[in-house]
Amino acid sequence: MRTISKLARAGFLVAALLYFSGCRMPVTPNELINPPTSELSLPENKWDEIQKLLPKGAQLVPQTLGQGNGIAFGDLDGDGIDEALIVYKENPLHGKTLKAALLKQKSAQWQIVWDTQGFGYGLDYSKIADVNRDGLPEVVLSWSLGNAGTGMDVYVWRNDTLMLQSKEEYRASPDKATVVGGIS
Amino acid sequence: MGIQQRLVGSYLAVIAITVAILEIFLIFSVKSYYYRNVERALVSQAELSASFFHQYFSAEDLEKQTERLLKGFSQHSAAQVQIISRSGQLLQDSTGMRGSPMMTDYPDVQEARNGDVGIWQGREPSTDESVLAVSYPLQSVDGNAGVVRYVTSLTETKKTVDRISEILITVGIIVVAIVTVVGVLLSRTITSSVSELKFAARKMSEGDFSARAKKRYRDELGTLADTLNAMATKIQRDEALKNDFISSVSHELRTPLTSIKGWAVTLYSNRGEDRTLLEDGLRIIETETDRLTRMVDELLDFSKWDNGQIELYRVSLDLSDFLRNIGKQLAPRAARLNITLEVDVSDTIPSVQVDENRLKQVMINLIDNALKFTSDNGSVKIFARQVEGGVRIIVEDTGAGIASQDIDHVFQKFYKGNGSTHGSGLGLSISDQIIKQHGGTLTLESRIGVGTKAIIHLPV
Ligand SMILES: Nc1ncnc2c1ncn2[C@@H]1O[C@H](COP(=O)(O)OP(=O)(O)O)[C@@H](O)[C@H]1O
Repeated sequence: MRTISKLARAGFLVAALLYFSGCRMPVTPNELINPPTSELSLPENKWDEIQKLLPKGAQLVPQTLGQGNGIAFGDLDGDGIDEALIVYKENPLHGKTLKAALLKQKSAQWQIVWDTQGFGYGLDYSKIADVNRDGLPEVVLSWSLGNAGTGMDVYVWRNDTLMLQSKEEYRASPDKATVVGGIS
Repeated sequence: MGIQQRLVGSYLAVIAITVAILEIFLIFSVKSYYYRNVERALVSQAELSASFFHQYFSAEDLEKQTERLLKGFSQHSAAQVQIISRSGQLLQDSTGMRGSPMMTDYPDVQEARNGDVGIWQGREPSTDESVLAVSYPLQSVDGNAGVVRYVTSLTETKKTVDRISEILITVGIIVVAIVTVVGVLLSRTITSSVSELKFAARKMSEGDFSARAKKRYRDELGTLADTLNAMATKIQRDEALKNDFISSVSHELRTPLTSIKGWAVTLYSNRGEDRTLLEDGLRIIETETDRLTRMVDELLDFSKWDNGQIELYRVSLDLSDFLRNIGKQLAPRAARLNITLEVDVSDTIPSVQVDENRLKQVMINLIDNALKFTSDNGSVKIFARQVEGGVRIIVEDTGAGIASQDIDHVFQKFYKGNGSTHGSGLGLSISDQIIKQHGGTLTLESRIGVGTKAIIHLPV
């Protein structure tokens, strides 16, 4: 009986070591806190459809400036149909990575045509607008690191995908952001 | 050590080991859970800050924007945040600047300056506090611009883990205590029956065979109690039989002795004047002496059988001759009792390897019993037949028979059925043993009032 318990103890320790040395740590209670799935008031109930395209458990990231809820619409490719720009947080159980995705409607079906990783604590704002006044709309993603400042990515639509045009920091005052952001 | 102590002791050992293993596992898990989570929070914060810097702020000189960066870096973290220059000098500290010391002594800073992620857990030399530090390289376009470092004190974490451990250990001790109490109560159910058994056994060993062990449960101990009681009953009965035997033997010995003494006195006083009286008297004295001799022989024999000292001298024996001779020998007695004695043996019967004297003893015993319990005009038959694997000798009488409650006991030594006071009660017991020693069997079939059949089976 003694030897059995010794073996059992050794087994336990080995199991514990394997368990904890692996990256499979149980998530902390903090990370488990997230809002219940919200019914976002999207026209024609598009959200249901869009959510199916995103990874399971993803949550929209509302912007900190203005009232955007993480979804912006705009016609990028000039075909008369609006594309959707979505900023979301991946499943909190797999690390809260910020992501942005562009969805295009092809024969009345939404499809992810492009996506990228986000940075910082959150989203200042996202929009589809002509910010450099060249007559064509761009995708603007503005990530925030709180008081440290904001990083703004500008993407243009080329060859059926988005290309990074500029990536720069700017220290925005809220009013300026309002001007640039042009809250929709 | 008593059974109860041993039982409770083993309960305790098992539980203590189990609880200890669980405790070790739980405390270990809790500890690593807390430390890992603290570390992970710092790493992800540092990573987020460093990557944001790399993406958007790396164009500008690090030294110029430290104040602003520090605000952002520390915005969502309670940890101490430090920004360290490429050369290892402390540029900004969220807990306030204390000069600009060199940080190159910290292993995590060293690693981060080499471009890797540095994680270090140890004691802060200045305050001797246990800390966890995570350093991340801040990468600019032209390589390493500096290091961002998140430091947290582990004092609270350690306290929390210690508190949880305390709770776990307390619970463990309570569990062990509860189990001990339950163990003591449960072990009572076992030990109480054991001590009752012990008590009864001691009484019996002191000679009080009327003592009985109480049976509490239908388990091994219950069976033991039953066995003990059965043993006591048997000893009591044997005791009674023995007493009975002694008194009957004394009686049996006394009867011939009285008769011999009486005749001796009569003959002496007669001084041989009456010739017939003399002859009768001497004959009676002779038979009575024979009876005495036989009884003493039986007793001697029996004690030898009981000690297993008897050896068989086997010879090849022709059964038909043997049985006819016995028939002739006992014929006068049967005639005197007015009982027909028949011997029916086929000549083809095979000879057997037996001790002739012993087998004769058995036959005389059986025929003697048959004659004893058969009244006038009855008959006693002796058959011998060849059967598969041996021969069968049967002594059948038309006598009183044996009651069914007696038939199982008549082979026991000193047992006498039918309220009979004659004999020693040893005859069948000895016969049975002799036949068994020959490798055969002796069985009795009887119906009360009809007769008895004694069957000997001998292998050839
Ligand atoms: N042929 C028989 N008929 C009836 N009872 C018998 C017969 N043989 C034996 N018994 C019973 O078995 C008892 C035991 O017999 P046994 O052991 O031979 O003792 P004993 O030597 O005193 O005759 C007798 O007391 C008698 O009650």
